[in-house]
Amino acid sequence: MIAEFEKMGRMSWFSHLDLQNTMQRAMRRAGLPVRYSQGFNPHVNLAFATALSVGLQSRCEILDVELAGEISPEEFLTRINAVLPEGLKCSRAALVEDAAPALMALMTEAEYAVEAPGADLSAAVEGFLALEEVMAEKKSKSKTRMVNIRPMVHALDCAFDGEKSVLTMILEQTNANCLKPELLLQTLAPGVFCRIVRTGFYARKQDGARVGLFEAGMDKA
Amino acid sequence: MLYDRIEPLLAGVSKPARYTGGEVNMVKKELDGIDVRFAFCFPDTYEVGMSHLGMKILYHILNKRENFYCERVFAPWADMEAAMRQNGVPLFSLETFSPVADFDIVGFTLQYEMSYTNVLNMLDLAGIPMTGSERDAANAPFVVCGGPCAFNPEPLADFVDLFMVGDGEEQILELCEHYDAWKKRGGTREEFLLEMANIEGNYVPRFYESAYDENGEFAGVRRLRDDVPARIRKRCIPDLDSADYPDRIIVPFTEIVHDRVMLEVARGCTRGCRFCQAGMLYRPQRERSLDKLLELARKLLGSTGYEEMSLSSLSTGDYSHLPELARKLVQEHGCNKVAISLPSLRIDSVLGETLEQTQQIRKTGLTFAPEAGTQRLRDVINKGVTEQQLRESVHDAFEKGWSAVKLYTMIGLPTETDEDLDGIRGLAQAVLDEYFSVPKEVRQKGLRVSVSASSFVPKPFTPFQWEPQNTIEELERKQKLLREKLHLRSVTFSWHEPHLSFLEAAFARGDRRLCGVLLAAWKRGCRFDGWTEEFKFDAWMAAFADCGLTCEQFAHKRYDLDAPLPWDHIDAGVTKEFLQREWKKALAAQTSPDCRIKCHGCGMKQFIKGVCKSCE
Repeated sequence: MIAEFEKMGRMSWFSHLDLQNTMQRAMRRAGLPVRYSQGFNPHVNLAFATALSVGLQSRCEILDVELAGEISPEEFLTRINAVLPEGLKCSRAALVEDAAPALMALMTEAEYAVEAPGADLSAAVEGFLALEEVMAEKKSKSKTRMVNIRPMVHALDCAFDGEKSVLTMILEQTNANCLKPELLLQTLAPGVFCRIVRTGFYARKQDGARVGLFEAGMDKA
Repeated sequence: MLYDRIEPLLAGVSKPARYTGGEVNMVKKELDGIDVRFAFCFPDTYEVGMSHLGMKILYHILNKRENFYCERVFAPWADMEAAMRQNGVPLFSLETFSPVADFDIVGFTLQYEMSYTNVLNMLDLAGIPMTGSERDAANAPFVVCGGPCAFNPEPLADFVDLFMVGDGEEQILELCEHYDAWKKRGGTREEFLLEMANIEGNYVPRFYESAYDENGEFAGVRRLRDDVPARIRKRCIPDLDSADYPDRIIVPFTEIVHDRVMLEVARGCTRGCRFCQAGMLYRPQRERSLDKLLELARKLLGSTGYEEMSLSSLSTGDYSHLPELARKLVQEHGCNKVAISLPSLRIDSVLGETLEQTQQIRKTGLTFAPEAGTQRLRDVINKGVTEQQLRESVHDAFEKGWSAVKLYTMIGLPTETDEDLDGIRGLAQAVLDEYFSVPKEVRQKGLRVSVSASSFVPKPFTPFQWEPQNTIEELERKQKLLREKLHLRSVTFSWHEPHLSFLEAAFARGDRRLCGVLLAAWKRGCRFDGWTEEFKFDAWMAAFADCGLTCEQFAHKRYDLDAPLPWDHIDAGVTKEFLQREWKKALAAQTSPDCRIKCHGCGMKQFIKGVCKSCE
């Protein structure tokens, strides 16, 4: 079963590992027919499309859970949503076979909506878009290197309403290459407090057209 | 809302989920219908506080009342504290992100002495004045304290309006009920406190004073008015089954120290170990019934989704129906992959059957607490176990597939000699021998024996309450000796920071003069003293000097058996005569068998009639 869920508000402050435990316990509370791993510490066979950084909210996370019995997507949603805390909510679910690895491979981009209270970022965004190369320090587990982030920004716009800037951005997100919105925002406006919400995952059709990742996952089923 | 000001700070601090609440089973209420707002403060981090059973119980009990709202507050870690102070964000509750100063009652649970600076720091972060008279003037919340350290309340007396001594289940409700009535009726704060002071278990320190003789020795706590009790009797819940216990508990998102369902099978202990304060304070031993526990387990696992459950009490191995309880829990919940773990097992508990049961689900480490290395010293401290029993227990465990054993010991006990330290090595060696006596094909690979040595701290209401603590130098010498002795294959050795134990000893047995030291230490930046990385020993020593006192005069003091003690005005149920008899027997290395075998006249039978089941 794959399910799309939101992680909003207070829920944005716990880690990916915490999310795994939280979802696992929710499924146990809901009495869902989940499959457990073998071994001394059995856990629910549960995977996520990708991790979400601590502090980011999302309306489009995707989980994939292996079931041990039959249950309809509608029943799944009703039961899991009845036991999830405010801010975590599954919006849709679908039965698919072996989805997680396939979903990861299909993913090409992620979309974000950003709010920066009290800051006008429109000039910074305009300046960024005018450049062909923007170098930024990208940290990974083992090393830090300078990379050109400009080509990884597939769409970016900003509107300032006198109180806050509202940005939308589509950033590259593949297994091999991914630009985190925090890094882009740090480059655009260092030290400015932003609320970031992930709003979509995308895959590409053979003709190059964007399609929602969840839909792409369902197509495979 | 305060959250809008907290949110921007979170990206810059470690473990932000400590500060955001919103967990499963958190209680949400509309503030409109609330008569009494209670801030339950735990003076340590979220992960430590959320592991505390007492908080879960009292949170549940208060929130069952529609018009009371109990919210949780924890001490922010240093990074968050700095961010909060810099941005003028006051201490807040996790349920509604309300400033703590907006509450009616601010309650701290005192689990260990080394959390006292956090109490002061949290009051300061909340913008609540530290002394009762300042709070009266500002009409600030009442500050109340409970927990085991409330049995010697004097070192915090200047900062607290009311101490609640003993089991809190009934007392905390009475407090809120009386507060509600007082608030609606109108009256002075002193009237309210006077009313509370006349309810059993309540100590209002402003109605008492501490006296000292011409040599600066403590000379007793006296009433300042005759309409308050001379002695404060602890509260005691006679029947645990009728006491409220939560059927749903908060499930944190982020990992906490004890991240599981805790089922309290019993309160109190019948063993009578002479160093153990909890064993004296929580007398008499009371058990929950098997049926009640099975029902609670069912509800708690269903409402939390936890995959692990522990049976908790001071001595779970002594629970009358343990084998049956373990068997039924495994039968009922094993198919749902619930692991049942049994911590704090004593080495003479009936292990056999229980071990096999727990193994069906998950292997947790085996823990034994022989405490002392030789039979002589174990007799002195009345730890009624023998090396033979330890050998049999671990042998049994090794045959059933365990390979990790923890041995808890203590150094600096009264009458201890280096021969007793040799004995600790002997116990570790005995465990190794038993392991290798199990055939290779039967035993698990990867033997690990962890020996830990804590430093003895004399505690009020124990037979060793008159004893001095070893000096830091002596404790360090003994630790070094043990390090050398325990240089054995498969054995690791750990020990406690002796400077911390030194301070703990002063505050455990200290009198009201320590309030000044505490304030001075806090002003010098002390907080989170129980955390090695935050502990500032030099600042503490300077704080003692600021007040013209020394830590030695409290930690190393030998009290005369008939001298007044700073906690004499608290009645814990066990009598001084009993403690004196036990002290004398200790020095003669005479044991007092488990009180289910023989009653030693500790005083509980007179204190609370019909509860103590000993030798009836």
